[in-house]
Amino acid sequence: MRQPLNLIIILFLLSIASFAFAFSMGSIQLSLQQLIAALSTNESSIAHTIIWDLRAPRAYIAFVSGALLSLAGVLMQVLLRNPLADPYILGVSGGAAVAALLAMSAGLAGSWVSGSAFIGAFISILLVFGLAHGKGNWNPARLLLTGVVIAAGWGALINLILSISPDKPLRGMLFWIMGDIHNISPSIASLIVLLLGLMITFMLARQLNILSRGDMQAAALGISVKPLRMSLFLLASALTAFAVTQAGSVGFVGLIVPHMIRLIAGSDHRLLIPASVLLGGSLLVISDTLARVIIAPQQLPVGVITAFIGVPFFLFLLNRSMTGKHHG
Amino acid sequence: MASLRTEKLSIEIGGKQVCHQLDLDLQPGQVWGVLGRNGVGKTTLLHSLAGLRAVSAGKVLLDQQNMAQLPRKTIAQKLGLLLQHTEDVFPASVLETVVTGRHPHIANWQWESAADYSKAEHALEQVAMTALAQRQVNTLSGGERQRVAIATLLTQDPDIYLLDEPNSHLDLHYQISILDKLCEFARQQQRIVLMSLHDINLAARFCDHLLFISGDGKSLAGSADKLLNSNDLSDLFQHPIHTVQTADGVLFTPA
Repeated sequence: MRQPLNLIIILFLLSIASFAFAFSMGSIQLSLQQLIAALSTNESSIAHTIIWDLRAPRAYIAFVSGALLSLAGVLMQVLLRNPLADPYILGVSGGAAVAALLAMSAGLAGSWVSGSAFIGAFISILLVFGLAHGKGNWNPARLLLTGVVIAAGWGALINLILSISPDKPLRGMLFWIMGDIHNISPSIASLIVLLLGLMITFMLARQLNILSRGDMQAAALGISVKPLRMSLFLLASALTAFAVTQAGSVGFVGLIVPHMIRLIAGSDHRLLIPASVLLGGSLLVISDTLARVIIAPQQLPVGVITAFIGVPFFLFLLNRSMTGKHHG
Repeated sequence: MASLRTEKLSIEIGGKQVCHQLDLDLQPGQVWGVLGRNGVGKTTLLHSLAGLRAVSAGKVLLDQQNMAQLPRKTIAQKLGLLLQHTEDVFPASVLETVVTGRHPHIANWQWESAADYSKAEHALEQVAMTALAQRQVNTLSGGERQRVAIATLLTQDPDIYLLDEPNSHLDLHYQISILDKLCEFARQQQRIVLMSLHDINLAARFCDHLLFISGDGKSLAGSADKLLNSNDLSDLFQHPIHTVQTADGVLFTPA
């Protein structure tokens, strides 16, 4: 049990480092001393204001979103028993995006957009749940097909909205679709959802290990498969809905982070779940910081950066584990 | 030790009758073989006996209790099933996989104890997989995977073992040695084994009771001595089967 604990400690330190990075980078750069000074006193200095009013809320939103998406990715991959599954595969983000874009084209902004996104996400969840449930038979293939087709439908609607939209809101819409963390106020709700989700899935972790070996095998080993699958679907969808509501559909994190942890530490969900949450959160904090400083004062959509960091890192891990297998 | 009975059990799949009003009584220490042609429903029968499939009529009784009303976990503490297929989409080591057999015996929030791991290691020894304990399952051969699945079942340590073609992918040596160990264990420890087999001679060698499924709802159940004759076997397989007297006893060969 020593090695898994080490990984969690390393990832925990990475999370702290990612916050330090986010706090110190920006139009005014803070050195480590300034950072510690600003964090350790309560008096208002410029550094203090910059950190607590600007950078901390944003880093917090990025961390919670990345963590929610990674956890949702782990759950979707087991639920669909498909390594290509990501949090958006069943159309949750598509539903959210359609609703958010409609709100934007109606001239709404801020919490109106995120509120609409949340409602859109839940409409999509209920739609997929109702259709895939069908006549009682709830297998991964049917769920996957239903979700993918619904997602494709949302995709067409998104394109329709984009193509008939006037130029003015178009830029905001594109940013929303690519994932974007700004102009949102941090909420405690998504953190609560994250912690609840983490607790529940950690309790289910051993059942998830067995479910990934097939529904029949899971049932033969004493798991009530149908209720487990339903709760996984609802949980993963809810986590995704909260993530998308605050950060737009940030790509890549939910697909790749679980695989990164599997490559480093194997597929035991008792380790995979907390490790993915920490890595996913850190990855999004670092990406979002880069998104706002790389070509400052202009901002990039965070989803672009996640892919730029994630793709080479993932290929490195994959390559390393492949060569390891040949020698071992 | 648990017992397994069926009362007027009828099973249908895709409009086909697997069995009709079947009464079975499996007693501790017995080794049963299920024989029948391809597609008669041997797997369906095993899944129904394991409570994984709704039956058309009648009951499966585990320790006198209707299995349809028992929670899955309670069933899995007493009854284990070797499936023909398991999936391994995500990487897992052999030992990790085998120790999942302890799942029904551990509370959901608990972790496997040292005792659970030593049970798994003992099971790996039984199927001669100790040396491969740290290997990834998806790098194993078909026969090695089958031995991992059998070790998982041994780790589950149920009273009743339902085995769906335990010999598939196994070479001659493991076909004999694994069934030898399992059947001897069952007779000594008063467990029940029921397995579907394709090889009549293996059934004759290991089973004391047989169940013949012909695919039209008809079935024959009874002691192996009574059912192993060329008439009943030829009827079952719809192919003439002869008996040959050898120094090792009677052997059955297709004409």
